Amino acid sequence: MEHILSWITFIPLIGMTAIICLPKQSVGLIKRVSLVATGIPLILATWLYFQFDPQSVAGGGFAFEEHIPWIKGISANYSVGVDGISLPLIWLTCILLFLGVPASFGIKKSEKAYYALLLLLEVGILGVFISLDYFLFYVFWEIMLLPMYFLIGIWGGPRREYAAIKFFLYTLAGSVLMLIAIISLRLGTGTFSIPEMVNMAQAGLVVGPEFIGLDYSTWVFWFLFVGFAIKIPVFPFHTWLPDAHVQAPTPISVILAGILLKLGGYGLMRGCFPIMPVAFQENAYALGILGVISIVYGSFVALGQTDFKRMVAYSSVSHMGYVLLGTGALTVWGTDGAAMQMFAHGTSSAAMFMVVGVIYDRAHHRDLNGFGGLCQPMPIYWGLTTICFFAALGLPTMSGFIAEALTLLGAFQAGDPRFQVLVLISVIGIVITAAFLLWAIQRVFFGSLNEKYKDYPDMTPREIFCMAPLLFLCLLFGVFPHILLDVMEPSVQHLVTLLSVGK
Amino acid sequence: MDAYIEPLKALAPELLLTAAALGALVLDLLMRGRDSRFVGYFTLVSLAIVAIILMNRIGDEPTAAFGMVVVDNFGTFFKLFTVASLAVVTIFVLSDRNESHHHIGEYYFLLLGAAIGIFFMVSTNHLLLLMLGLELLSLASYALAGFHKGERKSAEAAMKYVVFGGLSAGVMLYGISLLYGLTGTLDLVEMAKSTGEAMPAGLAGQLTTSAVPVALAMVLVLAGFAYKMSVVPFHFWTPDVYEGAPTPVTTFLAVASKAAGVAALLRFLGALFLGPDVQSVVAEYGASVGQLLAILAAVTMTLGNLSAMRQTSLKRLLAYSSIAHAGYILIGVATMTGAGFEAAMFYMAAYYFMNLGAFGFVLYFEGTLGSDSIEALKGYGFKAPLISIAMVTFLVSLTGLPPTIGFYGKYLLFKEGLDAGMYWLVGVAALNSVVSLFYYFRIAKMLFLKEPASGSVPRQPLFAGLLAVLCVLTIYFGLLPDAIQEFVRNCLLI
Amino acid sequence: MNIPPQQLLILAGILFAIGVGGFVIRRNLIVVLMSIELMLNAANLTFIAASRMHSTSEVQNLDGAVFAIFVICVAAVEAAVGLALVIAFFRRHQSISLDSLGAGE
Repeated sequence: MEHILSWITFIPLIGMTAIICLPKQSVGLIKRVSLVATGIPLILATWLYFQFDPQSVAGGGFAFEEHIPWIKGISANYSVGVDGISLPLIWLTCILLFLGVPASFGIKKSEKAYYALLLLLEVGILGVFISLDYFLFYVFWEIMLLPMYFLIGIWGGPRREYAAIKFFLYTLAGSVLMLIAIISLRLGTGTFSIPEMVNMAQAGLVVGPEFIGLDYSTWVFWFLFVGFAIKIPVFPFHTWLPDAHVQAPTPISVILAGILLKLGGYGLMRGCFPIMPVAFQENAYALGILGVISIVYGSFVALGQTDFKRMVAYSSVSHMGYVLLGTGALTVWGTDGAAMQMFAHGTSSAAMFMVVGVIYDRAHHRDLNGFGGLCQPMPIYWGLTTICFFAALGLPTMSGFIAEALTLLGAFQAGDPRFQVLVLISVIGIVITAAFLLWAIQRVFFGSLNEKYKDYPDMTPREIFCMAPLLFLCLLFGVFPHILLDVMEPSVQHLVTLLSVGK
Repeated sequence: MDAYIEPLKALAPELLLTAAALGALVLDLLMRGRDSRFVGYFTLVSLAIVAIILMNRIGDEPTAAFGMVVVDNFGTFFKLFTVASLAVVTIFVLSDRNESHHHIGEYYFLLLGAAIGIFFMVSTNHLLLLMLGLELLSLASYALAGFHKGERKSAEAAMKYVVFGGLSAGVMLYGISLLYGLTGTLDLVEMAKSTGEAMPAGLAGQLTTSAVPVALAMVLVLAGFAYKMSVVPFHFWTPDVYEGAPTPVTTFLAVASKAAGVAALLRFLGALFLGPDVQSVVAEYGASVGQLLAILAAVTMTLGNLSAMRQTSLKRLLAYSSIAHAGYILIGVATMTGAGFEAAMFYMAAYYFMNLGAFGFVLYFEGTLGSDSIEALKGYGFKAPLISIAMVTFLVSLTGLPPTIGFYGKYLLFKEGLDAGMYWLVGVAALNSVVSLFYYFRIAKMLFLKEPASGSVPRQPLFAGLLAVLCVLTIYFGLLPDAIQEFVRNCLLI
Repeated sequence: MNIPPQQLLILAGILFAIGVGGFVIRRNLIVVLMSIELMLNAANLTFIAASRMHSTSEVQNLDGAVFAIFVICVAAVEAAVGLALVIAFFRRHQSISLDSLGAGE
């Protein structure tokens, strides 16, 4: 199919325009339009996923490419394509946004604006994943910020204004650093095309002036890194995350944790590391350390939380640390693990936020110590939550296990022997993660039943519909990981080759 | 007599504007006692005719008239810009519910008179005509600022404006007189070209003997431009005048008057330092001037942004924001390259859309709620959604976020700044953009994140339509800026 | 009696400095307007002096003198507009002190 990537990306935009034209009272119609506008990309993306031939991108090519000249004045082009790293994430985006629509049926205020912004968000996210032109990448990257600000700020919790502006300011600060680096790269290489920049980087042709006392490859690397690291989020740039997650409405938290965080990891793999391989090699160990700090720190802080949602938010910080650790190790297994972890965490943490949403919708509080014995009135909920938490803690047969195992094995094998120490420290993170997740299950579901929860209705079909597919995917890719890994492998291998230049 | 026909034809737009201005005055006299909207429509029609003449001129070879007026694409660009802004401002005046439509003939007369001043300012390389045009613009602006004679704030604003304007006029004139004293000519191109060693000496001669008098003269003249553009340290009049003047006048000042300052500055620097026949000594001196401008740019944007954060009045906030934007535009000017000037001009074009839109929103909102306090905006977005969404678009553009034209404009400025090696300046500008998000989105927060008070907002379809068009264009040109960039490139001198 | 132009330039400089000083120091609006006039006249004097300096016995450089005439005209208009606004201001505030201008900021 011609231009399939553009169709996947822009069908939600058509949906958004349609919604804008509808009267704001016809909520049912708006919801149906949203389902269609997110469903069609999902079907196309699934088809695309199984049509994709991984070998076609072995050695660094891209599939389903499109090149249209866009802005002559600065020679920016509408240049898009996918490879093994971006395709699973595109598929994940479509899945999560499609499931996000029924998850949002609980929103009762200004639905028209809500669904329009949601669709605009999808366009932005998909656009980032398909962009091969850095200017296009940056435009899509920033397009995401505005809908998120309003989605958190209008439909969020009590401190939503604070959380929304904090999110916006933090991310924008990182983005302007990225912009300076991008402009500088453009001036230095003469092109916006990311594949060309990567090729030039391999030949050592990406050079330019010093800035704030650092030489060119160092400061460009760090500026780009900070911009993406804020999104992942990496310690110490993570402080926006708990507030944003806790204040955001449930479906937005699902999307935020499920896919928005992955944009940071993807950005590093696509737009930061391959363009500055030398700086990456010099700083790989530092990246590994940052990853491990995120893993351990995130899990310890999660252990100490009493707010259910905050606990899940910090678990996200912890899980995303594996991405940095795996990539920093500069081995194929490590990067495989990192890429897989992005997908696995996407499904498991999205499900976790839905879990929180279910109980919050009923009890209107999230105090972990205020619940108890819920397995009695809500057995389905208990079952699904347990599966979900097992997925999150990386139980074997779950995709999270494969991801974490690959990451740690890859890091252990790294050329730099100091990584072995990092692996040993990360194991602490695994243990603590298991601890807080199991403890949460115990506090919420076991123990004596609190009288006021006695009559709580179990999960509605809609809630089950939103959560079950994600858990199914966790299980599926835990037992048959090759479905993901076969797609990722050639691109990951190429990435590792690129990053190992000169070694 | 024939010798005068050609130059007069070259001056056709200015003559037409003069006729229109006088016509507006006479028409108002004839219609005294009845609704003065006709004068407004008359103004719009004459502006349209002028615009058509100007558009036919684009692509013509530069010509000179009377030895002082230069008719070239650069001037035509800014004249079209002025006509376009004036048209929107006229629509604002016509839709302004606060205006009693009597005694308004003078309003249009003054606006057109200011436009005549701008027209001459942007199409001359001769310091005398520059000064006359600038003064005509200033004088008309003083009267416009104080137009609401009955209002306390308006009289105060006008008084401050006159005082500051007079100071800067005096300073600038003294600087011009020093330049004349040093070089013996009032024509900028002459000054840059001539090599004479003794009096009358060109700038080159003066610079080789001693740069100090030239520096002094240059600083004094730049002060005049800084005043018109609201650059620190000559920005003190801006917040009070923008707040006190009637909103359509504020719009005019913020868009057309500032553009005139930018145009005059670009021409001044371009003729003196970047022209084709400039002496090398003078061109090198231009680099030092560029550095001074870079420092001014950094200070201006920082001060503008930091002061804007504390404001409670929307008009004052936009005033400080326009001071900050003058700083961004100066980045392009400070590069002292053709590409940098082009970026500055593009940003003016972008500025047209987003600022006219923002002030249009202020006018609408002031008209319905009676005040311009940001607190009063609570929940306004739910009462007037179309206009508020447009305003959010303008705010996004002012911050410099994609996919708006404001982003592309900032991108070009940053790119030229980095290309010229001014990394520190671009870093400051980037930081300032982040800071500006904070106060721009305070408005968005009030609009949409707060609950509305009761009451509904009367609908004004013409106005809403205008804002919607500006909003759509802001996004359209943000995604496809080639048309405007090509146009700007063709209009550039260098 | 031929006054050397250099002395005129120095005088103009002094006048300009007095004008700026007066503008900065004095609080009375009328005096401020007067200081502005002083600055404009300093510029005028410089123009005339420079015009004399640049004229040789064959060729008169009259640009400066012409400019001075225009400046006189502009200064007059500015004074008229300024004083009219002072009157409007006075009617509202009953004072012509700069201090009563200091609202906002």
